[in-house]
Order: sequence, then structure tokens, then C-alpha cells
Amino acid sequence: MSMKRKIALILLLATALTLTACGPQKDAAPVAQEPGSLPTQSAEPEITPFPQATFADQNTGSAGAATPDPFEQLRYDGPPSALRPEARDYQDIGPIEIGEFIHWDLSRMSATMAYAQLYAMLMQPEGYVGQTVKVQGEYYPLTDDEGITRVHGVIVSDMAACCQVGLEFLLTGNPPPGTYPPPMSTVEMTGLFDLCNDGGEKFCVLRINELKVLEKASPSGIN
Amino acid sequence: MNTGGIWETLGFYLSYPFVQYALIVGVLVALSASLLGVVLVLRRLSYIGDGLAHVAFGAMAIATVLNFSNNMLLVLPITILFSILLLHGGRRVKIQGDAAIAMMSVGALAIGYILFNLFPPKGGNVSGDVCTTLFGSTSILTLSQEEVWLSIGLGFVVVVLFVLFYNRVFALTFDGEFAAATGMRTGLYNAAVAVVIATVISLAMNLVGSLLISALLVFPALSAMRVYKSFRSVVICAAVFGVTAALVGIVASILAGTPVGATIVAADIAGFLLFSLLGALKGKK
Repeated sequence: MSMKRKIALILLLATALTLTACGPQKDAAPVAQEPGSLPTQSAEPEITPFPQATFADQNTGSAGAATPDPFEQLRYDGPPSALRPEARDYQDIGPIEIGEFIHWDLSRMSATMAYAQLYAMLMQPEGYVGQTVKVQGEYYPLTDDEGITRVHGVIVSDMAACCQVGLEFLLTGNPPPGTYPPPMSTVEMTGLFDLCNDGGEKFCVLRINELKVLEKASPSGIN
Repeated sequence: MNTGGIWETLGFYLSYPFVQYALIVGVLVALSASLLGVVLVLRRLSYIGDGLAHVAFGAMAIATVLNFSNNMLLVLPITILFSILLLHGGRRVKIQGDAAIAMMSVGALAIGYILFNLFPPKGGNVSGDVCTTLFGSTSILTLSQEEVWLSIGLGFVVVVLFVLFYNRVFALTFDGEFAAATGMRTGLYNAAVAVVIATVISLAMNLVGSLLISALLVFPALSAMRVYKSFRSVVICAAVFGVTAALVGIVASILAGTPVGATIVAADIAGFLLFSLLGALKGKK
């Protein structure tokens, strides 16, 4: 190989390697962006918001190569509940009325399609706020160090259970004891999709009036 | 499931944006891949798609570790670089064709998998990510709008370039030395072909995953060659075959809930068998 070609190859390699400098700056201030907009170009490259599952869990996967969780680096300034902006706290926004018409019936879809649609909803949640969604999946509670359940979620897996996505749900009112089944029970719910803010953290929630247990798993002792 | 039920189910799914995106990108990627596949098959470089796909997997692992916002920023340049090294090396390189492809292929795959395990994505599922990247089970169904537009743009560029430079591609495919002797800048065109192939492979990873990309490149060309003999006929037939197989595969996977990539390859296999039968019948006449 001639010297000219060797130099050209080295230059190409160097060009490719210099692109590795385009990564997240740990101390860079988060850039507020309009939901759904293209990433803004700046002198210091920053992570583009790319909404993922509502709660990050070792069993919750992303499609394709993993992308960083944007909620860590982007403070959300929206209302506690996009469904009811006047609410003071995202957890209790008062009674909700769920109509008969279901906009997105994920229970009718195959596992892979349901996973893909829920993933799309979590990617661009703004377009789905207020719409009625029916979901079927596995109940998965997240507990704190004292064993108290803080988050109730439903996990939707693709056909091979290779990829999973989770969605938090909130039962309106004060659900009586025994409402929630053991973890990994198959549940079905119909509710209104909401985009919430808790201390600057943006996440999605399905607000439901009723939780239907299709198949109860064996109890695991988690409250 | 009766016929009416199938149409109703298909109509139900087609109303979802992610299905529409999958169909658009799937068709464009399959078209681009099938056009380039004719060139690769005739130049006996069928396995290069597999090799470059594995290189792209390794690059994706590096991009994930380095926290790239868009993995294509690293995947595309690295895949292009290796594509040029493989296709543009010529006869003067010490390690030729298939051996070079094998080395790069397994090396990149191993390094990529090691990186995924050493630096797992935060909050992610390594097995799921690797499985999806290798087999493309759900990645075509979870495309963002930006990815769709990028795929549309690149797909159109590939098709337009192929059509515009058809005669030069033909000359390069069948007799590169004669083409060079007539004054054609074969080095430049070889490098251009390498860049385009790398681009198509980077896009096709979303459709069928790294392990199955060769199917998009090879099956349409081989199937067309069972029936047609002229280069132009093979190219047109391969393009139609590739697009049809992709459409059938995507629709079948949607209805049956099977992995998209594998279903497309299954459609390719079925089409190849059909064309082989047609070719045998045509030969008998």
C-alpha cells in the first residue's frame, strides 16, 4: 500500500475516533426543549431527550441499543398532571371519567405489537394525554427500603420476553387493602393516559378506576 | 382466523403510526439492499453484508458505552471505514476477501458483546438489547420520526445513485480491469459502492438485525438469477422481489406476532424456493 493511501486511512480512522468526543458532558446544564422537537445543535454536545419506560428496572429493556435515560438530565417544568393541570400533586387529581370508547386497545394486539405501541406512547407521550388506553400485562410493584410499595406498574413484554416496557398506573380514590395482586400477576386495566411531573421528573401514568386481575401469581410477601 | 378477520386485523394495525413507519422504512431498506445485493453476489462478495453487519454491531456497542445520543454517528463512519478496507483493498492486501471478512466479523461481534457486558446500559436489559440488535425483533417497530426520515433520505439517495450510475456499476461488476483500462476511475467507484453498502447495512440493522442482513442482500439477487439472465432483468426482478418479501414479511409478522426480521427472511426463503421452481420449469421448456 502506498504512503498516500496509508495516510488517507489514518486520517479516516482519526476522523472516526474524533467522533467519540461527541458524548455527554457531565457538568453541562440541561437544555430545555419543546416536546417532540429535534435536538438542538450546540457547541457542547448533550444527550437528546429520548423518553423510555416510566420506571427503570433491571428487567425493563429498551428497543435496539440502549439510550440514556433523559429524565436524569432534563428537568421537566410541566404541571403535576397534564390531564388536570390545576392539581397540586400528581397522585391525587380527583375523580376521572373514563368513556366507553377506547383509543388504544393494547389487549387486542399481539405481545410484540403491544410492546411497540406502548414504547411509542412513552417516547412521545404528549400526543396521548387524555386518551383512553386498555393495557394487559404483568403487575410489578416498586418498593422502598422498608418494603412499602411506592409505585404500581404494569409490564408489557414482547413475544420472546426479550424486550419489556413498563407503565405506572394509579387507582383513583383510596383503594382498599387487598386491591393489588401479588407481583407478576396478569392484570388488565383501562384508563386515561397522563403525563406527570414529580419534582422535575417527567413520567407517564395510566389513571384507572378499576384493576382487573386475570391470573393471580403466587404471593411473594411484598406489600 | 377467517379472511374477513385477517383484513380487519390488518386494518386495525395499519392505523398505528409505528406500523406505518415500519412499512415505509422496510420497503426502502429492502429496495436498497436488493439493488446492491446483485452487485455483491455477482462479485462473489455475498458474505460481506454479514461481516459489515457484525462490525456495525461492534460499533453500536462502542456508541452505547460512550453514551452517544444517536448511535448512527459512530456506527455509520466505522462501518464505512471497514467497508472501504474490504472492498477497496484490491489484490495488494495480504489478507484477502473471505478471510478478512471472517476476521472482522467475528472480532467485532466478540468485542461488541464483551463491551455490552462490561459496560451495561444503565437501567437497561443487556440480553434484550443484544437480542434485538442481532435479530431485529422489535427495532423496526420502535423507530422515531427522525429515524424514519433519515432512512427515507438515505434510501432515496441509494436508489437514485444506482439508477444514475447504472452503466458504471454494470462495468465494475463484470470486468473492473477492463473498466479501468477504458479510463473509468474504478478506485473511486469502488469506494463509492463501499460507502453505499455500509450505509444500507447500517439502516438494515433496524429491519432485520445484524445476523440476518445477508438475507436482504443475497436472496433477492439469487432468486432473480434463477429466472432471468440479463443484468437489467435481474436488477429489476431483485428489487421487486426484495420489496415484496419485506412487505409480506412485515405484514405476516404483524398478524402472527412473530419477530419481524426472521419473518422477512422466511418470506425470502419461500420466494427463493418459488423462483427456483419457476427457473427449473423454464429450463425444461
